[in-house]
Amino acid sequence: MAKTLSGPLWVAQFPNSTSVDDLTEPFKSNVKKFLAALKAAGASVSISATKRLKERAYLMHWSFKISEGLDPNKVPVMAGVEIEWTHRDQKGNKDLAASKFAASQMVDKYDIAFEPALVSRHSEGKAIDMNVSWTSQELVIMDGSGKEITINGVPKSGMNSQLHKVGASYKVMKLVTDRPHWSSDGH
Amino acid sequence: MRDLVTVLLACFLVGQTARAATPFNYSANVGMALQKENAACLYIGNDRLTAGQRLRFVNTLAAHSDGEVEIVSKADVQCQDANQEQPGMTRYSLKVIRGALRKGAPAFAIANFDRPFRQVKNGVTADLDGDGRQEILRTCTSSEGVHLTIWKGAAFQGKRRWHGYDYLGYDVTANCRASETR
Repeated sequence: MAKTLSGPLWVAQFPNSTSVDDLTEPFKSNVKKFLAALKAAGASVSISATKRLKERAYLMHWSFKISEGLDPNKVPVMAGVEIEWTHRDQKGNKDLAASKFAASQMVDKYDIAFEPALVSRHSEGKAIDMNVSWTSQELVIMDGSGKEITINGVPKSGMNSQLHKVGASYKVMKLVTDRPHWSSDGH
Repeated sequence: MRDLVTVLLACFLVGQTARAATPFNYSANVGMALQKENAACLYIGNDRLTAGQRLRFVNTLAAHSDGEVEIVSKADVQCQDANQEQPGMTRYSLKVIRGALRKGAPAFAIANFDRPFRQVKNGVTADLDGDGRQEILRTCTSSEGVHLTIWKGAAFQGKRRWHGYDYLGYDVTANCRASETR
């Protein structure tokens, strides 16, 4: 299969998902139960990311590395991603400047300034990013064991430590270093 | 001549006293500047900034860059960002006056400040509060976000004076220490 040269057109490929259905079991079912409990309690939930494809992570990671000066010939191939990282001039010689420029265009379009990771809980389908909030004085929510929990502390958001315990009862664990991030193991 | 010196000295002392009476408020004077797709935006715990007011900004990544921005308007819809909607946080749109905000990389934005920034090994230093001691400004990454911190004295050992967070929306390698993310 002919390869397609690197460049900004690649950025639309392998889009991220915001659908819970794209998560991996049993995390998917656990998240659905937790989301149902949040909804029943009257909390607002806005999901920004669920499954991120490893192909997209590959494109982001290596375009970033090439834009920083990595020789495009050193990029490993990935099955299912027919991208040609090395651009050539009219004589067929390797054109590192053009390769770097094309990779930089991808980086710009991806809107990335930090080196993307190749593997994550998102690429495994075991993480969800969501903003949770409520405006009522307290949030009365059912935990994973069916017990009613009253959350009356602040913040009234996904950063509430009482809510983290409720999430854990559904095996949806909070990573406190990243506000919207919840996963199967807190990473 | 002696009278003139006395007057000047008095003015100086009054100025010093006034400065000492209004300590630098980190939460009101420090925020995060972000270059979005269609607008430059500021997120800060201060709803009293006015159009035309200027702030300094500094990005502490590898080759630090600094510049100046100007407030355009408050609560601009172009700067709406669910991840920055925190109690007490106000958003403003900005015009870049000098330098360039780097897309995808949040910068420290500082109001009421006019002293120099200096690059050091693990960040950028500046005497933000004017007490003659340098603060250190740091940028690090968690799994999916950027944490900006300001420390009085040595980073990680001194007192943390300010913390900001920006959600990146993609996974990165975490390099923050625990004290930078709390």
